[in-house]
Amino acid sequence: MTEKRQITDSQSILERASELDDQALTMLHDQHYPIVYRYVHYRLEDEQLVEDISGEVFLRFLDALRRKMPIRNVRAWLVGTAANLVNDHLRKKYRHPVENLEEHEELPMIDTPEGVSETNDRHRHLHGAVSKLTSDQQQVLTLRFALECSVEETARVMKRSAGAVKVLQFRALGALRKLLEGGEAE
Amino acid sequence: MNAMEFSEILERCVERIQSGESLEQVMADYPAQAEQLRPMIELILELNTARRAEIPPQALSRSRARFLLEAHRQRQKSTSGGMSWWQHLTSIRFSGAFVGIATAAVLLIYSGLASAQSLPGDTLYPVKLAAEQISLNMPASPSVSLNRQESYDQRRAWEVEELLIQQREEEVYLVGYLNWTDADGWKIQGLLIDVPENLRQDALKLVGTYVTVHADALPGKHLTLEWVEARLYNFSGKLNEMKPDRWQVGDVWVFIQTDTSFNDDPTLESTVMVSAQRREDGTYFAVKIENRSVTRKDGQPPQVTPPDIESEGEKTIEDAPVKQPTAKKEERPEATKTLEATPVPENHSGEGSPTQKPTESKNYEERKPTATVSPVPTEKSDSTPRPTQHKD
Repeated sequence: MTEKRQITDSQSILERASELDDQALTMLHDQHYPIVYRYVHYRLEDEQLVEDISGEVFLRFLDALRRKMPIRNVRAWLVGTAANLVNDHLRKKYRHPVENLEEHEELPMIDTPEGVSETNDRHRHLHGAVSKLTSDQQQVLTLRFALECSVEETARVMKRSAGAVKVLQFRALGALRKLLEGGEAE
Repeated sequence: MNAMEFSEILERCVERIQSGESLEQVMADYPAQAEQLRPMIELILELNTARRAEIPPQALSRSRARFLLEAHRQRQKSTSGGMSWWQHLTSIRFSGAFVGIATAAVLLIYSGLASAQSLPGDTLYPVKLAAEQISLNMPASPSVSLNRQESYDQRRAWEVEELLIQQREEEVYLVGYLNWTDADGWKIQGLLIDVPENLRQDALKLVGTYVTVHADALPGKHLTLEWVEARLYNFSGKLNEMKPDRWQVGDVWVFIQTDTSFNDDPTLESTVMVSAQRREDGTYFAVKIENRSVTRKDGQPPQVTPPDIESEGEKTIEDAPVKQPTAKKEERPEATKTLEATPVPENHSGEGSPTQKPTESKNYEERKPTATVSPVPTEKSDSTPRPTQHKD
């Protein structure tokens, strides 16, 4: 007779996941994969790379569970790990801080079924500008506005105070605006 | 006004807009800062809508499969770690027969670990498959069993990728969604596959469905298809809930189609065996449902009839054999079935549209390796699944 477990609270799920229970692991994975994928996808355009890094995030999560590392907020932990992996990738690839990158020229074209629409042009232009910001600025804009995380959640992921997050997002928006107005995104 | 103060105002504006107020309403309350605030908030709105990525279901499945596979590997390591197996055995008094059985089991576990990296054609590869089979046979809910099966399907894809990297020539089995695009041609599990002309009609009918393929991995080339058929998942469980378009069996929801076949009228609480096809969005569509609860003639409560392993090769998900990739084409996995060609609605939405009903091949081993179907109109490939049918 198969056993049917009723997991009702997040702490219980996390405890079972740390015991490598398949059901709990599946629940956590499926619940959080979308936000991890969206975060990485917002920072990178290569679909295969997005998938690779997103998958790697969860393998590291598994390792953390196995080692019984204290994880107070799973979502914050996962997105934080995703941010680190994306930053590592960009550092290795380009060997310079993000603000010195001209990566938008090297990013693969976004596939659209019927050619490039005006909306996609604008989004690509915007994304090109975002990619020229520092990694912290990119991260705060991605978390706050692409993923619509709260200030508190963003603060947890970035290990900063709420006030620091607000200032960072203000400065990131200012820098982004300058890039867009100055045409430096192209 | 310093940066901190301005950023507080900005944050308040963002919160108000996210709660539904218009930009003009919000700007009206900050006339002094509007000139600086407005472009920032417009930028935020644009950031909100840009790059709203759809999550590809296959990416989710692949990641989950890899995740669970790694968890399984970790569990295997932990069950064999710690005290050495010999120390453990000699610390406890057992009968000789028990020690023999236990030793064999431990040896299997160790050889399973050693075989974990083996590829098709390697000596230990059958051991790897046997270890997977043991895992699949372990009691679990239908959802866990299906996830394990998915993870092993993903493992087949990795093995094939490794073979291609090593430029080894092997016959391989692969399970995944069959896709076709103008740009890339034929793909399964992200791997390019050449489909010979005589198999294209069959393959077209299965585009967008989960299939099993037998292919040749040739050095320096893509995979070359030998045969393809729809992959069916078998699992059993208690019928917990019945909605008009889907039923819950154990902890898995399965969509019911107009041509889902039933051997009996299952009722709530009865134990059923399901053969289902998996769609790209991860949902399952029942091809056949068998009521395994039998009402006794003496009026006693229904009893659960154990699956008849002899009939038509059906098995529970726990018994479903893992693919047995060998060089012999007749040794194909038993968990898959051929399907009759039935009309498929054009607007397949993945919401329980009717597709196929199974054709059980009574003598499984007599199937020819090449799947063929009756002629169908030539059309561009779409996600509408079509069955394969064997010609005898």
